[in-house]
Amino acid sequence: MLPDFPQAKNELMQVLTERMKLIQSGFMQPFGELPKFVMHEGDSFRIIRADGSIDEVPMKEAKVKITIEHSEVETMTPAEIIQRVDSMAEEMARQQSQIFFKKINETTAAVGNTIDVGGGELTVDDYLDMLSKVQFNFDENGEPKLPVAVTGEKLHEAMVKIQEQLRTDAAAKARFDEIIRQEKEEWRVRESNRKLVG
Amino acid sequence: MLERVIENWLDRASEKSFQIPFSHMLINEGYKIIHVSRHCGMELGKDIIAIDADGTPCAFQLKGAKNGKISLSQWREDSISAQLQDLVMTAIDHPSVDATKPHRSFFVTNGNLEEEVSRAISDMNRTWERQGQPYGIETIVRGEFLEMALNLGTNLLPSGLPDTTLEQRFLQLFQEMGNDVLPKEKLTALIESVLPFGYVKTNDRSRKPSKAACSRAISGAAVLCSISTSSFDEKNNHVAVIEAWVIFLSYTLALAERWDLDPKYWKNEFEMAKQAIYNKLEDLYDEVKEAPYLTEGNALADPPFYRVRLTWLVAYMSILGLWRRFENKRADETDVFIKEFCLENRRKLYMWGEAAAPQFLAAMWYQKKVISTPEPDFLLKALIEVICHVNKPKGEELLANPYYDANSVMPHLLGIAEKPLDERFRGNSYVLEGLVHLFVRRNFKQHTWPLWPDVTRISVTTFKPKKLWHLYKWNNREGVLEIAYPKHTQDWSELRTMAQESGGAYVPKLIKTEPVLFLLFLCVYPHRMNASIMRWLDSELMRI
Repeated sequence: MLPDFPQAKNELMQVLTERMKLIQSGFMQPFGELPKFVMHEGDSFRIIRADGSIDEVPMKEAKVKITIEHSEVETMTPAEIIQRVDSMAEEMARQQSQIFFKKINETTAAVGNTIDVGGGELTVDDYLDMLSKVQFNFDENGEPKLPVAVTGEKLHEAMVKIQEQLRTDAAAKARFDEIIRQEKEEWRVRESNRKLVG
Repeated sequence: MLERVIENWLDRASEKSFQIPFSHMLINEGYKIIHVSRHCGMELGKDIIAIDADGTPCAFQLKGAKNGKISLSQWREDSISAQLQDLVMTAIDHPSVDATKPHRSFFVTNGNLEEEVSRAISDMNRTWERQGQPYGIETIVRGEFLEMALNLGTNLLPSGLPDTTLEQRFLQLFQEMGNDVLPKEKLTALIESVLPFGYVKTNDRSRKPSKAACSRAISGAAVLCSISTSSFDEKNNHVAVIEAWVIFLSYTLALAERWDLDPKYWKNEFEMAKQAIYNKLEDLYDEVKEAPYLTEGNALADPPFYRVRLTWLVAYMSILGLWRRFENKRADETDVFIKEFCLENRRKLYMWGEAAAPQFLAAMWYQKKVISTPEPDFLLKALIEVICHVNKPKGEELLANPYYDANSVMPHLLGIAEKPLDERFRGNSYVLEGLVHLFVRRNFKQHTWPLWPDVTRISVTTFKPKKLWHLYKWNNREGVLEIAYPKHTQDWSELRTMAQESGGAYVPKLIKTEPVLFLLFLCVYPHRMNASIMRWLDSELMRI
């Protein structure tokens, strides 16, 4: 064989892999922040919830292929290597995010937890309807941990308006406060239900 | 390459280190091993006692050759002549052997015999012949020994694995320094690659491997296991050697269950390896008993690792204590020391990760045998509290799951790891459910109540292999990883019913007769722990 440098190349690969993970995580917001669970064994995954419901989670593949021509190797600069890695990370993040969104859509649709505004503009009432359908928790100070909203550019503008309305529109704010109050009560009941009986 | 490594091993082996692989070679040659002495100290007057294929009892004396040969000076210095006299003239004293039946005697060495030594043996044989002794001394020297090893070696590639891959795995292990923990993944990959778990393809048809081929492969795997981990044996790294034989046993049972093999194809090797494990546990006991301190290696860097080691030692001493009870061995000073050691150190155990949970359980089950207070039961409560606290959903501390051994976790616990672990362990546990069930079995209702709210915040992960025999394998591609969240409101009597179940649905059938060995298996394979297994083991060990 021709002379090779596996040890040094492995070190370089480790650095590139770390970079890829970092970039991928950045592109996957908000999912990049989720705790990672490594599946050390097996080929399928099952969740059994506290209420006894079972969710079989099939494995999904996300993959990116990178092609480097032999002719490129001679002239490829470090910056170009990094560029290839970054674009791979972006593509991986895109595929994984799609998997996440698809799963969320399927799950919410299955339990009727969706709001369809029929192509119209999202209103504060739609937002509050959405919020009332979501279960969320409270921190040790009793402050709500509100869900993260993932939006496109157009929806983002609507969300900014809604946030403004929640500050200025007394009726909207009252409804928001009522939702929080109800959620807090449900959370308190949930927490007090963590007990042995009998 | 494989041949050269075996040759290299043979040339530097001592009688102590070639005793076990030689025994496995004998099994491959059709012998049934009856006894293997622990120290090559001629406990029963013989290093190995076996029955040959014709049913004749055989006694073997092993001798490591100095500088490649048994010289006349070694013959004299080691009093070999007198030892051979005893070997031939003293009847085999073992309950499984008819002492009135004449036995064959073998002098085995990894070297050659100097001419004078050869002549001395011939002279002795002539004398015995004149005296009417039916058998004299037969010799097995380097060339024959090597041939026996290589005979097995040629049987080591039944699965179509390229020689180079096998050799690489073998060499990697063989070249280990032997003073670290056993690289279990490497050894399991090696053993798995030489055992025929798959169908054999011939002329476009697939068939099961023959039972004889399975049997030969098991013998070959035993020899490979022994030789590849010989550096650990040479360093008297008893725990690593115990782990190696547990892995070998585990794969032997996997193959036996995979093809539903009759015990005659694997039981001999199984018993041999089990004996090797027991002997090594006793070697470890000797070392623990004699050691003035339980430190090891670089003392400056040892303090953070001391309690990790101590927890391991208490577990293995507990297992030795349970083993002796299980086999109804007569209680002696060994049991006295084990009790003292385990009780003296019972409050110094360290839960560095969930991989240490089986070690804690071994300590708990042993303590249940030797003290009558509920203190051992409250070890379970303490473990539950630790897991719930450290792995709480928003916790900042680290309690790694059982896939992480001490070597991989300790740098993170010490804050010196180069990069953080990819995986987070918060809000999850592999062993919590089983611990809760064991504690509930003890019926401490009032003590369980305050634990429950925190227990409900931790999901429980269980790996369920596709086939039950897969449980013996180190890693499985097929199977379901199940994450379950406990009920928030749990009825006590319902929980008690769940906790009492002990059918052992996740315990493969062949290991079910060996609960203590199975406990040791879990210490080596901590990622195989689950609530069902823990409940079954609790019931079985309580019966001892």
